[in-house]
Amino acid sequence: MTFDLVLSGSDLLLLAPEIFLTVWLCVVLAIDFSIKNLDHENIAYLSVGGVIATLLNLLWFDYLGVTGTLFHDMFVLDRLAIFFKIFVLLSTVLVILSSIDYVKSFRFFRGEYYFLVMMSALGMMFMASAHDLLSVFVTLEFSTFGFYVLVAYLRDDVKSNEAGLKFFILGVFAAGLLAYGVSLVYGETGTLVFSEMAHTPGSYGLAIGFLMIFAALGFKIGAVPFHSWIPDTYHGAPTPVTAFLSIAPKGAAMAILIRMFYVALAAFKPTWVLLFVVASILSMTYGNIVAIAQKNIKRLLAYSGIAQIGNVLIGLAAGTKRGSDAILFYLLTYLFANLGAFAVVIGVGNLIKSDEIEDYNGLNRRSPFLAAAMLIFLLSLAGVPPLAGFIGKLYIFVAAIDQELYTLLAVGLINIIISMYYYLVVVKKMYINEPVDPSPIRVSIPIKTVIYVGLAGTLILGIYPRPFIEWVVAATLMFSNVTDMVAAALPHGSGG
Amino acid sequence: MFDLLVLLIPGFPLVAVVINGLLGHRYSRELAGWLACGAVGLSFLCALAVFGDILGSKIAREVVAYTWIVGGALTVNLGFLIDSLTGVMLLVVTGVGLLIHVYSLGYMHGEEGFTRFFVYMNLFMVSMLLLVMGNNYLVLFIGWEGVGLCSYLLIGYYFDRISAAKAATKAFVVNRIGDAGFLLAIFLIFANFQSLDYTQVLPQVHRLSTEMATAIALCLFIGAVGKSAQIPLYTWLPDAMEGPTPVSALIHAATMVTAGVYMVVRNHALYDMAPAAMTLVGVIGGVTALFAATIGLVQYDIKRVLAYSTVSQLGYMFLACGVGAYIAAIFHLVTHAFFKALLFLSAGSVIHALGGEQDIRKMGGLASKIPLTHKTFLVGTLAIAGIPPLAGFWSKDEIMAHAFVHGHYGLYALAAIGALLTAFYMFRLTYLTFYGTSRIDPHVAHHVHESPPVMTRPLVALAALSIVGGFLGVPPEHGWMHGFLGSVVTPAETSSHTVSAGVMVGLMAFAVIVALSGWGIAHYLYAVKPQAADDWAARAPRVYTTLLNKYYVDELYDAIVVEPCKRLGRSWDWFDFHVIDRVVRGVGRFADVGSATSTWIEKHVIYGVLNLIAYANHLASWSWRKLQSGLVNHYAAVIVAGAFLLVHFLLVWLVGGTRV
Amino acid sequence: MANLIFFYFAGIIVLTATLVVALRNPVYSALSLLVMFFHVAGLYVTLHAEFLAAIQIIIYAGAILVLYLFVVMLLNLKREERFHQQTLTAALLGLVLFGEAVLLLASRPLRLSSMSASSEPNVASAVGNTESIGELLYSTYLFPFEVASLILLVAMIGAVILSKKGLLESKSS
Repeated sequence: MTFDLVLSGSDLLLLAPEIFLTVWLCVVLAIDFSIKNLDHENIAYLSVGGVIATLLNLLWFDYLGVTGTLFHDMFVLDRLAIFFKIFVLLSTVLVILSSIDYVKSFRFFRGEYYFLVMMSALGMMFMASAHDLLSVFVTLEFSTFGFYVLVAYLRDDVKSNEAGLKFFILGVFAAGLLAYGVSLVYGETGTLVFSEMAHTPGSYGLAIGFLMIFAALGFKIGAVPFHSWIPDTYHGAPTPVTAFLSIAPKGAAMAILIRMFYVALAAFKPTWVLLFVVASILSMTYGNIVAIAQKNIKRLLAYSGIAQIGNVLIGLAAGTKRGSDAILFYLLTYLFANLGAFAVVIGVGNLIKSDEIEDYNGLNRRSPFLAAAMLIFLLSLAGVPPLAGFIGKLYIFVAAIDQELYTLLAVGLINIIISMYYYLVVVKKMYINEPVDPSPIRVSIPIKTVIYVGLAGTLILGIYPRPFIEWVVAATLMFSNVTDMVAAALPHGSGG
Repeated sequence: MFDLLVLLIPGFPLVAVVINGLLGHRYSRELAGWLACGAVGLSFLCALAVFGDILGSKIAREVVAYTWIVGGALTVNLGFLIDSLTGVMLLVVTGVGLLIHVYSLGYMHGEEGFTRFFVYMNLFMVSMLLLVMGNNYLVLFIGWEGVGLCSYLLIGYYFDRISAAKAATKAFVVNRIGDAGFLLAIFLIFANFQSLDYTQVLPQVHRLSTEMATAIALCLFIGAVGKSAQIPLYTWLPDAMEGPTPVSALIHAATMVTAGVYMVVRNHALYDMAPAAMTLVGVIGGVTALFAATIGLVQYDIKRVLAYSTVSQLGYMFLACGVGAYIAAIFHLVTHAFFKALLFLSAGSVIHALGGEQDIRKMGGLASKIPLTHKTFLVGTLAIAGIPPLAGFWSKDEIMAHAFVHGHYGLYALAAIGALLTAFYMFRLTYLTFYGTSRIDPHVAHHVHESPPVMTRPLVALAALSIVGGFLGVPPEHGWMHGFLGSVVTPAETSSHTVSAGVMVGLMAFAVIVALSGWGIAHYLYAVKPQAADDWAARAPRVYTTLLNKYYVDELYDAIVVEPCKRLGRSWDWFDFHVIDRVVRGVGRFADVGSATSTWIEKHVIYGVLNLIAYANHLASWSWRKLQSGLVNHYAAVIVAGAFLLVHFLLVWLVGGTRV
Repeated sequence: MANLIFFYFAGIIVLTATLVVALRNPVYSALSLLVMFFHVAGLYVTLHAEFLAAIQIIIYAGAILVLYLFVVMLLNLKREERFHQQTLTAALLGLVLFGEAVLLLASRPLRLSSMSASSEPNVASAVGNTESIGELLYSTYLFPFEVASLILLVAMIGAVILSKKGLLESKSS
């Protein structure tokens, strides 16, 4: 056997963003270790700087159209990967900025916090590029490992501790399912790489294997019935970590799901469409209805996130190019609205030390800016035009209509009504109820920045979404023949 | 130039929203108020110019601001369609809007959040203008949601009223039900036409099958029912009266609630394709017209009576749509905007004079104290009751005549009874408010004063419009309005029924008799023999209380929709923590009894694994004993059950004969 | 013969794995785990994966299990009842799941056997087992391998963080 790895400089260029970020975060960690009395804010800004540099690098790649594969197709850098990497990094920047005040209350391990956040981001960047099941497993575990620690970061806080333990146990459990599924698929197909699987005939073992993998990824994105960890973990984790957890891993896991089902399993689309229809209906309905009963804003956003993922799954149920466009765009709208809402929660929470919805009473009197921002974010989540969330939902539903998924459409529309109710309950408390303590709430500049970015994103994506739509359409260009592939594969699809 | 004018119509209020919203706290409230009014005024001038242009050319024109959404087949412009229908709506919205804005300067004077109020009002204007100007369904929908949002914000304007908050939420959620129907219609239209532009869709509707046309028309109508407060979604409108009175006048009488009528008329080509949907529209309209009128008979809150009357009048408009009298619907929309805005603003003036009192049992004899308001209110009452030659007579008569002539006798009967009741409850309101002995609280009585000119001038203007507005549609079926709108709204069956002048005059005479008898009964009960009203109520107590409680519809909805939803949410939440836990525990205990002999070999597949992991956590010496670790394995159980269901599902699916 | 050996190892693995979770004395559980590790290693040997077998024994039996035992003994755990509540549910669920999986797998001929029989011995015999794994790790599977090294870094930092108390001043009590 010969040593068959050939890596040229231009190949390594494809890995440049990851390599840069790895080096950068090690440098940040080293600086944090070596310079005593360095204000943690400087570490935070250093981290933000590095992440933004990586982000710019990726944008530049996207502009140039750099694409390619590495390591025998295990690592792929295409526009889809670039989109999700930018998605992850954008959320990372916003999360780091909204963490700064929170981290101030730590007595030590401040620099390490940013290190772990960036490490998780790095893991998710790898996830976006993973093109075979082994890489999926390893990168998924990589990103989740950082989160295990981050969720339990408040070592002495019972809730955080409990959240960390639950997340860890269930996460490892999901990893077990994933490993089981991967081994089944490998046994059936003899390959781990997605693009090579596309040509294998269907078999039940393959189906079970992929179901197990879907269960593990469903755990990551919090789709019903794999959602059970979400409320407790979101509730107990430090709020900025919850914010991070609520958006970035969902994006990265969606990248894998899209790749897996669009590339490896395109031929079996008639089978998996129903899977997503069911998962989507369950997630939307369950998430929205349980959200009504919530008294804690973090739990509310957790359940609302479950429902939102239900909406995203509609796009997968459509299983077309337009479906994947819609997913990407929807996630983008969700990123701004969700992180914006969390920034408000963090800003308020830092000051009043509470996340109960009751304590948002009269927020409008205490800080009109925060209340107005929260209003816009919640309305965007509810899908009120002309905000971003509306366009996202529109796209998702149009994708469903293309495939004549009318049941899904009807359920989705009913869920929009239900969701309006609990978002409005929060709005009502902010705007109409009397505050117990009328003292004004002021938020720091970093959090304000995050809120402004969220507002800008929510408004621009709603009012002038065109460039972003063009971007996501370009990102999924490789799937434009996905429907044809299904048609071509149908005759031999019965060979199971 | 024309394009610029068109863009400026929503542009001016939008600029005012941005300026007042961002900088409003930097300068005085008066300035903010005048800025808002000025913006609407400029918008009105632009609308006049645009209207003049249409009047000359009578050609529909499209103006595109920019391409809003692109992607695959879905391309949507933020564009405007300017034709005569839009022209009429533009003038109503900006004209009445301007008068109400000016009125608000006086009415809201001294209220907390004055600037905020005008920001919302301007935002409402922008949304409403988008609604009537849009050249495609999606722009219509943004406007549609935008007005709903502003309505929400303005109903909940008074922080300190819990009832206001509830009413606001109710309005939004109920509207949202309608919106879901509307969205579904939009998706169906897109699925059928691959476009959302009126100019692409409406000329093509004849391609649709009757079933599809009916489905789309009904879905659109669900939206209209929500927005225009028809049965069964009307309950939010009376509650919406918690908002400030100018809001009630602008949003909940003159403009927003008529959006449903506008939408149906805009899509009349579609409704012409779907006779079943038309019938439903007519019946819902007719029933609502009568139903709401009966509730209006016994209410005591001056604004609520007007609210039920609005619901009832909107019913007339839908009735008109249902019988194919689209122009009459728009005609009534216009006259209704005049006289209902007038009635609300006059009522506002009364409330203003009485320092916030809205209960007509605590009014009376106000005619001499606030004479101008009295006169304008009286004009409004005469107009809505259908006393010729005021505006309401012409438009309502046309609707009823059209229904009769086209053989919809049932609907005609509903409308005629409704007209009788309308005349009655409006004059009841007038008598109780302005005539008879004063029942005003003595503490309030000596403060009673006529409103300032900034409020009364819009009243006079609206009163004038209510008097002469009807002549836009005279003679019936051949007035100016009909000629102008005819290019856009071609009646379904043109001139197939030629009606003799005698029948028309007879119908008119009957309508006048109906209106006058309503007045007469009210006069008898509230002016001649004031105690008779109570006698009547006492004679049929059950009917009276049912009406007073609005047929218990709110309670019914609470019981069958709202509460179950909440309970379901709570119970699922509770279920997560308790039931799964208990069930699993219970089963476990049951098993313990049975397997006491073999304690050491039991198949704890999953939980043993968790056990080990838990030991590993000891290593890090986590304080895990404090945790509710019992739940974790149940969560894992849920995940396993999920995976199990998936496999099971696959099995059933495959055994069922479908291929992998 | 080969089948006999396989079924011996497989049978013992299933038995001891069951015992690990069924036994209520943690020390016994750990010991049966040890037995299981050895048999898994045996299975590897029959598959010509000597290197993996050695690694299995060194890492799992040698390092991880000893650590387990340390902890168990340090904490002096006698019997653990906490996780023994859902027996019946779990057993039922597991059985049905297992049954369904078997049903699905058995409803078509397995393709696995032919493929593995032809390809695997070639790899093993041509070059040394250890050497080929090393080459694969540093060539074909370099990407996952490098990512795994990053996981270790995260785990290291994470362990340091989680082992120190008093992160929040106010709540340290």
